Amino acid sequence: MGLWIGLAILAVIALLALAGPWLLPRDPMAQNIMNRRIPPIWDAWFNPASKASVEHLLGTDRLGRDYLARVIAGARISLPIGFITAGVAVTIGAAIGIAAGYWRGRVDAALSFVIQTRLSLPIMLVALTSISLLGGSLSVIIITGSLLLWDRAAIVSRTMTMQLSERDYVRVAKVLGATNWQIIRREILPGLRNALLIIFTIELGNAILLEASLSFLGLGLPPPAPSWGLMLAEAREDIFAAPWMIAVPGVALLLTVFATGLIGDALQTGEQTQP
Amino acid sequence: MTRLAVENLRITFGGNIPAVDGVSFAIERGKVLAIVGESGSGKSMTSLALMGLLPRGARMSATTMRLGDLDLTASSTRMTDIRGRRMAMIFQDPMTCLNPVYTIGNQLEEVYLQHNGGRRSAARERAIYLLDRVGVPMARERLRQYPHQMSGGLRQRVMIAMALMCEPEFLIADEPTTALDVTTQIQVLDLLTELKDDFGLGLLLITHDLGVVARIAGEVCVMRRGVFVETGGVADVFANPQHAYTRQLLDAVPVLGQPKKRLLPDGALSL
Repeated sequence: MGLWIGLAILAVIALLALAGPWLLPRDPMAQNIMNRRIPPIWDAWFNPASKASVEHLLGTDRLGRDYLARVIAGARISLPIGFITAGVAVTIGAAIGIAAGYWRGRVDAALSFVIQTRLSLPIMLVALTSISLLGGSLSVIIITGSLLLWDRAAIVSRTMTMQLSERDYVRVAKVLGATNWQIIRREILPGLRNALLIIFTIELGNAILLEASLSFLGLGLPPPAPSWGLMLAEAREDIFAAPWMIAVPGVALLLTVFATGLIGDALQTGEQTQP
Repeated sequence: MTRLAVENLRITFGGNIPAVDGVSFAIERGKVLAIVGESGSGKSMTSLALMGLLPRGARMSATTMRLGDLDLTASSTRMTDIRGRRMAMIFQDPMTCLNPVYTIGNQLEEVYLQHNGGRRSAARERAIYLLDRVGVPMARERLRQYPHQMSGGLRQRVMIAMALMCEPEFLIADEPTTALDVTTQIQVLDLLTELKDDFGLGLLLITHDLGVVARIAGEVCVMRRGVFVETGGVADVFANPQHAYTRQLLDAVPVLGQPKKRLLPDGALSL
């Protein structure tokens, strides 16, 4: 159930991100100072004097930019950041974890040191530092996120690889001449697949939140990019006069992360109830 | 005739007491050598040493360890080419020895493709032939089944077929029947004997079960605390055991209707 709800929410957001520019051919950057701070359409239901109009379903921000167009454009930033960062991070983590768990000994000691080092670094501070040094661009955020979010995948795949490589069928593969690479590909990876998928959904949410946090702090994407975090930051001063300007990107962020959480949770429950 | 020959094999784990202390033996194709001994006597370590798969931390030395002309201890010898192709091994528990996520066919074909390459259809033909040969009924249909759809005896037959995919010259069977029930045990032993004759397979049998030894082995080495205490033809050793431990082992085999005798623990044995 949770799986399908999560997938449905994510599918709607992804669909909007993909088809948004055709569904709503409005420039998310176009300013119109005459039409600024128009409330969303539902304001008209409660307030007869409202300036709300069907022209701007979710209203406009303080520069008169259409908010719906900006939220959709924000999904076009958040989703790629989330998927690419989580994908790269899980790949890095799995590679480190499998190597450590399979070869053990000195390899494990060295890689465990790398994992511990990563765990001792505060993600937010390292991300802020690297972005203030390298500048906030989409690729810098993705690279920074990928290099910071692999720890969970590494720890889980290390432990699971240690368990899996003790299995009898791995011994059989060895005595029948399988090379290490073949054993990892055929015997270990299929056993890790479910766990890595679950971790992917967790890191997907984390990566999206990381970008939003960085942008909110002013060290993510530079304005006027329609990043959800940046929209939150810009709406901060209007929180009392125009609360929807906080609520709309906030809800978008919440729904996306909630959906990935639901999916991950459902996959985990399914994994545990398997015979 | 190719021989698998080991001389003066020693395995230690860093301490003073070696796990295997200078054992020597040789097997020819078409013959069966059984190494019999209690848990911890070093019989499994001996077989793993042959395969080059000793656990981490083990140190091994041997005056000779040769497969035909090939020196197994030489660093130039690529063991991944020898395992499966010239020597294969089967283990005790057929329930855990097959990967549950692949079909039987997939696992059998993979062994073949890995060593011989070529087309999957050739591998499949070989798999069907061998499954049929080891007595798995409806071999063609079985290829699509997963391990959990088969009984223990069938799975051990599949394991044997898998080990024979690339026509190895020697097969090491580490307690091949211990996890099977008695009637299945006999069938599997008879199958191994038959395959040994038909394929000219040299069989190294690792077991603690003297009944198994009596049924199929030609020669037997009795192992205890890392050394062979007695070596000889099965008939001689069983009829006329020379070593006190061998006598005790034979006496400890329960006979229906007779009062049981105990195999005495270490200290009680006077050498």
